[in-house]
Amino acid sequence: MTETSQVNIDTVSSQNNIKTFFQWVAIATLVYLLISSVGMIGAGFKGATKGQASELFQFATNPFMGLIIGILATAMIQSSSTVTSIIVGLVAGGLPVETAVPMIMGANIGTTITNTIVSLGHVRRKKEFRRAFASATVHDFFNVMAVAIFLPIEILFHPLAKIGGFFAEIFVGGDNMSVKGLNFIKPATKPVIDLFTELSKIISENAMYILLIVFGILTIFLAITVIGKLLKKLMVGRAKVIMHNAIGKGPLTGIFSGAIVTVLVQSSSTTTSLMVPLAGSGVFRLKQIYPFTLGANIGTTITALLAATAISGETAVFALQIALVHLIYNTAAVSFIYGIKNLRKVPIRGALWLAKLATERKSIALLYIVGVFFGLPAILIFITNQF
Amino acid sequence: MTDDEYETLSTKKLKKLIKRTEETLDELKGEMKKRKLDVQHSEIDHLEDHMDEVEHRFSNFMVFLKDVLKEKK
Repeated sequence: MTETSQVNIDTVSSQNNIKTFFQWVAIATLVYLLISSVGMIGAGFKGATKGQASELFQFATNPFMGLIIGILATAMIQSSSTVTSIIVGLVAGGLPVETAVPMIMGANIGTTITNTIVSLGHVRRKKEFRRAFASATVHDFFNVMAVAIFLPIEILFHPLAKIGGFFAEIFVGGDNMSVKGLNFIKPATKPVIDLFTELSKIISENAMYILLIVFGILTIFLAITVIGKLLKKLMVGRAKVIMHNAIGKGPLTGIFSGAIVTVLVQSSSTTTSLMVPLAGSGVFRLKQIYPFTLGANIGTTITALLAATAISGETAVFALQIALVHLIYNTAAVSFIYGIKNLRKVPIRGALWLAKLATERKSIALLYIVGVFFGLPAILIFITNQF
Repeated sequence: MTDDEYETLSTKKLKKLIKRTEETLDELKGEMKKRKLDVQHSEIDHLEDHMDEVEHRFSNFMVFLKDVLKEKK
């Protein structure tokens, strides 16, 4: 190697290091903005409802309505992390945890639209499309099944809210660990929240709290989108290593790897969408993809937990409670459905059946997407309003 | 080897043949598994390309819609 080419390599390497450094700085800033925006939503919601949040969300006390809100919101913005972070902010602002639990469950269903859309890219190659569509919809079937099992139990006995509340009390409540005394997030996020509060006040004093909520939602969406894009670039190498290590190992390794990759890229839809071309090519079987997809459900709960750190004061315990509900629900659903052999097979069979139909008639795939993610919620809203 | 030829083999030879066949089968299965895993590893090496596919999902969706409309005609 000549001296000049060595110098060139060194220059490129140091430029890459500088670029990586700035990308990490950007991520840290965006995480700070994300946390601040959850605080903004909490403060805005509290101010807008003047402590009457539960009355404002009276229409969502019907758990099916909450579920539909979660499905529609997530399907429309295609980011469950954004929706769950917003829900954490709303709970911090006074939305009752019981009302928020079905919304969190709905977000789980809504997020599955992304990988289903990704699978449509394989439509022109019949066999490939069949495999890709099945690998995407296995996630849908699993999440719908999880809701069908856990929502009625939650409505009757509230186990998720109770367990979430128990752990939230341990972490942030109680006499020994005063949130006020130990929390450093509040003073750290205060400047951003104050800045946006002032800005909202300047725009319209009457609607300042509503504007604060809107700013909060926009900032969360922006922060999560850009964090996702940056992490995809920065973490692709790590994700590869994890996936290489998972190959040829059992389903538990698959679940664990799926969770870790999702934590790294901060997006379950990225992880599940990555599985679609891998299955579509026929290199990975649906059975191998399935546990990895379930891991994504668990890994994605990290964002809501991160968002919950933004909240301090008396509602901090509720914000953490709903974030923990997200984690407990997904872990319990994976353990229960995947743990029981006969239940485990249901999403696979459903996905294979639907993929067969969709391959024969492509319009069925379209009907499925529009029907499940938009049509069915709309019908349910109509029925709920009638009774 | 035909059935008649097997009948001429001694039990000891037959056992030896079975053992050798089983070993060969294991080796072949192992090779097959290794090849499958190699293909999977090489697919993972193209993870960046798959990430790009995720980015292009809306253009892919439009292609899909065109295909659905064509199918309807």
